[in-house]
Amino acid sequence: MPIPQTIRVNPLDLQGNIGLGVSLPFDGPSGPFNSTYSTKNQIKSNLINLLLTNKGERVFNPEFGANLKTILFEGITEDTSELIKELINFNVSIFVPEVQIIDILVSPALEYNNNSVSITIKYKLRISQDADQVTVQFI
Amino acid sequence: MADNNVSYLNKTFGEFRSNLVNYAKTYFPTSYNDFSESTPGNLFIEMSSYIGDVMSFYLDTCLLYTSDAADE
Repeated sequence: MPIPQTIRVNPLDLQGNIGLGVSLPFDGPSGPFNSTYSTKNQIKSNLINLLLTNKGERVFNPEFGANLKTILFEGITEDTSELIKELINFNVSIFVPEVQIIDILVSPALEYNNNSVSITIKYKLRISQDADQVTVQFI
Repeated sequence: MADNNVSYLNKTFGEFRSNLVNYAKTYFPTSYNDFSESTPGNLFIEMSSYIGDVMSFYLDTCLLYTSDAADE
């Protein structure tokens, strides 16, 4: 007899009208702040917040951040791409443990004469196994 | 506001922050629920805590100088 698959859901997702937090970027239609109503959207904002924060920026929490700006002026090589992936994997596992990273794509953005880098992270939520992706561009 | 159980004993960043988190949990349970380290909402809680810490420091300094002047 097959074992039925159980679906795990965060309790906060069961009530659609309960606000979880604030989403990034701050450009809501009726004001700067948009509330999020699902853990999937909130975790996406949390990931963006982590990637855009450098270590030492947060007051009284100097360890928070992905530290990607430390490799700002490095050349876009295989080694740099691997370093970016290592930094993201390490810091996401500490600060956003709700997420399991599937793949990280690091590619130079052509529209800025190869002087910028675009990072796409494919991930899934550990609790519900929902897959999603987030792209951040460093110009 | 007296019924809102506001603590007037906070002095440090950490005390302000934990009290603001407790306040949000108590009075805004349907608007804000993510208190993880990486959430962007921490921006507002931590900025308020920072201001509270700085104001508390200046209040203590003012009181110190006032009491010193009174002693003289």
